[in-house]
Amino acid sequence: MNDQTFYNLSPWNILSDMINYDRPFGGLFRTLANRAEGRFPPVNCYVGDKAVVLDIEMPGRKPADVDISLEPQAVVIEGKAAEGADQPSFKRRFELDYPVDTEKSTASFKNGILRIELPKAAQAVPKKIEIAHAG
Amino acid sequence: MNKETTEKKNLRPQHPTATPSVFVNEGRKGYEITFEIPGVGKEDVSLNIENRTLTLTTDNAYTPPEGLTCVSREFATYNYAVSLDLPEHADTATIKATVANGVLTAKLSKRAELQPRRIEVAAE
Repeated sequence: MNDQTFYNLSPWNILSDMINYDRPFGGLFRTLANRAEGRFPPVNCYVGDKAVVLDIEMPGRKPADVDISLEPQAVVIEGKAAEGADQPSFKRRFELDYPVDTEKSTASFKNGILRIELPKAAQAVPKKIEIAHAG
Repeated sequence: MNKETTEKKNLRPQHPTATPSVFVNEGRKGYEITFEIPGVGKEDVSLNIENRTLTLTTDNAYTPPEGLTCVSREFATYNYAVSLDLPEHADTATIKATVANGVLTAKLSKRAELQPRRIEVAAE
């Protein structure tokens, strides 16, 4: 499995590697980058043999303001703008390398972090084959 | 805090410290200060006030999914810490704080004698 699992359509993704460069400054630039207009909430992607997990950092956003749609091989996360709050709308699509089980996928929201758990579809899970002993 | 909770916290990975995004809104009667602290719940926040310095420290309980490899990282996990000096006319006794969806909101009013008030005009 290669690590290039996600083909991110966000132009901001190019910046993502640079986003942690400001640790000595207490995350100031990172904070400013996140506040930039139209910025997508940052996403961490985790991949295992059986599942894919997306963690999205969105402090202040209510679960009701976020729509998640699953396609067999893609996830679309859409956030609605909230009036009064400093909360722009966003839409982000993640293409996956392998199909996921849309029925068993779950999403939870805790302390401003949205977690989407996508179990891989049966045909995408690596399988061991026993070698038959022929005589 | 009971022993079990303390032990649990001691097992957490040590995160670097960062300054959270802070927004201060001033109204006619008081202030609303919001701190963005994603990953931190109510039980992991410590908000102290000494003289007129408001200090926030947090212990981030966010844990990445177990047994999976991170293939793309756009945010890091921090323990947030920040100190703010409140203005003289803020009434520190009235401060109230809530945590919801990774945002801490602290509200406090201005000192009563400094709030705008209407002066009754008496007839001569």
